[in-house]
Amino acid sequence: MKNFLAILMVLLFCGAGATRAQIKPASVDSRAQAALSEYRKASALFQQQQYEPALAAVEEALRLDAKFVPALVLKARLAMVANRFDVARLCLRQAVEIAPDSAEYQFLLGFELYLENDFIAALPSLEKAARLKPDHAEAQFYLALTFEGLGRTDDAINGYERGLKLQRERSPQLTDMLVAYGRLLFTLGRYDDSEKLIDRALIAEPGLRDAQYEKGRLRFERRDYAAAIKYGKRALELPGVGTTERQIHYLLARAYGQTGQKELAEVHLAKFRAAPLTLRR
Amino acid sequence: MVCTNLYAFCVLIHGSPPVWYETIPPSKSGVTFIHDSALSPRRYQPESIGPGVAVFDYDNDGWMDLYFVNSGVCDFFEPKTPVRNALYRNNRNGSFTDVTYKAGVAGRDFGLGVAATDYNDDGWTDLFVTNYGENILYRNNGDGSFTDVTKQAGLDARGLWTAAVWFDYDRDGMLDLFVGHFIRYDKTRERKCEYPDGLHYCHPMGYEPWPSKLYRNIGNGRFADVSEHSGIGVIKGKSFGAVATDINNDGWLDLFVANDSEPNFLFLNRCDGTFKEIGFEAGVAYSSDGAARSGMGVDAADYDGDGWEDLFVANFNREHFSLYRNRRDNSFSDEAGQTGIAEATQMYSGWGVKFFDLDADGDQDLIVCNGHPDDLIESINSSLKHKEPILLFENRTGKFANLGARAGEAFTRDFPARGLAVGDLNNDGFPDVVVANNGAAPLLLKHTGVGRSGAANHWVGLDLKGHSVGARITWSAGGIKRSRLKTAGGSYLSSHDPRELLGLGAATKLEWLEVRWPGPSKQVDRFEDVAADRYYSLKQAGKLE
Repeated sequence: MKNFLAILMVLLFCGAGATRAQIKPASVDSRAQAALSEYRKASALFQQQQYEPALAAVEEALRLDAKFVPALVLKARLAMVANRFDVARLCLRQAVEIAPDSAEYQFLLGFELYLENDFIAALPSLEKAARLKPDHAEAQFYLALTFEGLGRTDDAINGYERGLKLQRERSPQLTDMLVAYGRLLFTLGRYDDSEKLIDRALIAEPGLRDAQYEKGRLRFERRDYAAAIKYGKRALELPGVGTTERQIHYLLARAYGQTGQKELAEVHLAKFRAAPLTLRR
Repeated sequence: MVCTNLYAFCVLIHGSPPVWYETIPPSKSGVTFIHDSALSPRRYQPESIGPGVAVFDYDNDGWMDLYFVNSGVCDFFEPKTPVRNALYRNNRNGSFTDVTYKAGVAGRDFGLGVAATDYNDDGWTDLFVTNYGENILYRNNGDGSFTDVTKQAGLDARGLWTAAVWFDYDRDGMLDLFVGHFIRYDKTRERKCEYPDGLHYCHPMGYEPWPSKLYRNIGNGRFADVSEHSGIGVIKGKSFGAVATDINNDGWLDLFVANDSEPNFLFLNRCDGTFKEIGFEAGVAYSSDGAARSGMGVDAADYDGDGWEDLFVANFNREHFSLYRNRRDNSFSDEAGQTGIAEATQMYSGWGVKFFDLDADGDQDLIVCNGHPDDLIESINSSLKHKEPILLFENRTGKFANLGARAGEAFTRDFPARGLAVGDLNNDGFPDVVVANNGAAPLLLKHTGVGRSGAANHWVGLDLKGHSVGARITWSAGGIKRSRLKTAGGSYLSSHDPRELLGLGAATKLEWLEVRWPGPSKQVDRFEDVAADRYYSLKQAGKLE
């Protein structure tokens, strides 16, 4: 799930619009008004994905008012886009210190720590976000992912179940969650349960590469190699940055190998080996 | 606390449930060895790799002795005080005596691993020590001393050597030698991985892979390098763990090699002196997503009792360890999720590992020791620790239950563990454990003899004399037939007690015992009504003694 697009989606759309109360600067003098103005400019630029000028504007806002929380959070979002997680973490820690009861800021801090694989550190913030705003679907989702990262499978399953109840049908987060949950169940060898979730994701979003690939992987495990090839080929035709081409070629090479189609197996094996090595560490 | 009687009785007497293992402190064991990892501010790769340990009987007195490997002089390390390996003789009373210098096995270069066997079939167990530098073959002189015969044997190649496995790949009756190689390395190839708090060990992905070696035993104490011809040495890897086993029950030993950040190798014996690498086709090279994992420790055993050898790999944290169930068609499926292994190992980086019968109930339980290779990991990730717990799993009809604190006090603590060897140090029929820690003292764990269901189960110990790697041992106890293949290697840089402990459960004898010796003899020895709770030695076509 830690692909750039997913991260960007969260950063751009999850609580990106600060409320009127949140954007109230620390003081109402002219300096604070100037900070607010710079922040608004930065926020607009961020939504337009013009990150460099957005960063300049938000830096100016913080120069004018160092404790202006929405600006701190916006700077954190920009830092995450630029892979500067260390900067993002500092900003978010400051933000939650100033505004500890903001579900959104707690979520973002937990989200940032999750992205850094620091699950134990991420957990309290995500739990607090979910507590502060029980209908915060993203918080539930990342809470589930964090539990999964910690090997707390039962908690992860409960988190996914809670998250799914909060999701609207056909929302992009729904399919992400279904696929992530399906992958967990696949890892646990619960192939039937996994396949039900992946099928649901495919109904909601048939063009989702991740879901097509997962369906292929499930079919392979069931030794239904023809179906594995069918879904693998579909996945390969679809755009997407979550599931890599390398993963799909790996599936297809094995599936073609099992069906005795040696030439096609060799083609995909060669592509698999030529693709950049993926390593989870 | 040693509880050999009823579980309930122990609870009554001690006020708490009995545990499986108790820690033997150095003051009691006499084992004062402390590993020197050569830790430097520069963080050179070999510092984080070792050490290994061997449990073997060097003086043929029937009691297992201990050999610990240490680092040593190399291009990046000049110790201020002498650093040496250590051989401890078993005093037969729970303590050990350091006899290293008398035995002449202090080592040289930068020691990492060890594999003990009687390679020249003279009845005395020899030692092969893997080094960063030149390996060492110590031939046992049979008088309490050893001679370094590395050069005469033709085993003096230099490199960053890790696992060593003695097995007879060509069934000529002589033990051949696989030596795993990690990355292509010397001081000048070291990289810099800087963090705010200083340099950390770099990920192995940034180093060049390098081929391992296979040496054929040609007799008279000499070996021929057959790496190229056999196919073993034509593929580059970053090998850590290796185990010889027979994955297709054809009577020829295959070789499974775990690589760090490279696909694992499964070398299928073609029965003609060559191997075919089938890791990809067999489904053991990569994760189910096609990612190369960080394979470190390995083992092979028939954990589900179907008569086919399964494979285990200890990987890095968040990769899950792999439990590959044999599908009986030269392929495997990773059952780590179904068996509980994935969930239990999610946060750990595993090294030494062994399938063994913890409770003498006849099936294969599992122990694995862990530790993050980066000693500074906690400064960059609060979810991970440098020292990690040892995990003891009980096999419950194919699912592995993590015993946690019930395993013993040591299992509630964390260690920078690497090597692990299992062996019966006090000849009581229960497997003890020795863990070799990186930059720290080893850990000795004595099995308390407790059985899960209450009374201790019964056992038979079998010491197969002579060339026995690849032997198939089959037995029947209480009407249940079981079978075990005598594998070679496994774990991580370490060497286990060569004797096999067969679990009988509540049965007090074996109805029958059959040993099918490996080629070229293929001798089958069969015995009826074998009494329990004692060790037997057996030579081919010999008597149980």
